[in-house]
Amino acid sequence: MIPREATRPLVTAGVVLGIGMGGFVDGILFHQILQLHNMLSNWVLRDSLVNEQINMVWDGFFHAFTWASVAVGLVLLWRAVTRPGVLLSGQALLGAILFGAGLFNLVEGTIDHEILQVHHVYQNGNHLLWDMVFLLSGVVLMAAGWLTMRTGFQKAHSCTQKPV
Amino acid sequence: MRLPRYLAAVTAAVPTTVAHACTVCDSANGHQLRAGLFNGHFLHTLGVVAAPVPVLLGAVLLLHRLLPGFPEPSTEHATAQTFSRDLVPAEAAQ
Repeated sequence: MIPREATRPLVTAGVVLGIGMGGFVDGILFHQILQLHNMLSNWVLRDSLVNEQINMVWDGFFHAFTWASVAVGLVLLWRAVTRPGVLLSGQALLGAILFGAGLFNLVEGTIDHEILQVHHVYQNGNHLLWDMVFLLSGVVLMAAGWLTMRTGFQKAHSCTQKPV
Repeated sequence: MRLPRYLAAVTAAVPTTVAHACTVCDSANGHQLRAGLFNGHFLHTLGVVAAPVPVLLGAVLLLHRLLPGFPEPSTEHATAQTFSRDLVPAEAAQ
């Protein structure tokens, strides 16, 4: 078994980075480019300029959180790579980022879309189907991330075990 | 609330342009926007928007504490990798 002390710092940093980057994908792609929904678009309907602006302000709070998450992730990543004994693997870091992005989709999708219903992924149609696809994407990303992390750490570990 | 008063002070300092459609603008639109934002529901809405944050934080802390060790690669896999890597410098030396 690869000791968890050797993998934990990189995993935590990658997951926090992934949460922030997953949030940015949601905010940039769905809120801004495609404009499928905004932060409160199920509560404050986007039927006037002022309501659109209110949604935009709350989108800003959401982006502030994702920015902070990326900043914390960078600090954790710096601490991980400068700490002795940590197994470093780019593939494992990618896996952790994917895992974090999936975790974001799963948690945000469950709380915002299903429990509080502040918005749905696709506001103007069969929102349940789109919401379920979003949740499923979270589970798939988490599974793919975990497998990528495992393979990455195994490769890095076998390199460190190589006889000199 | 002090925030709207503060925003009003900022508004006076911001040179307004043609559109006047910004959060701190001293215009009809700006006033409507601030009225829509800083109503009696502001803190409630802030709490709702921030609701996923503690859950995500808790999930990360849980993962950090309970992260299991990853299994080592199988012996065959490791041997093959080590073998192939060892071959490269030997071939290069020739």
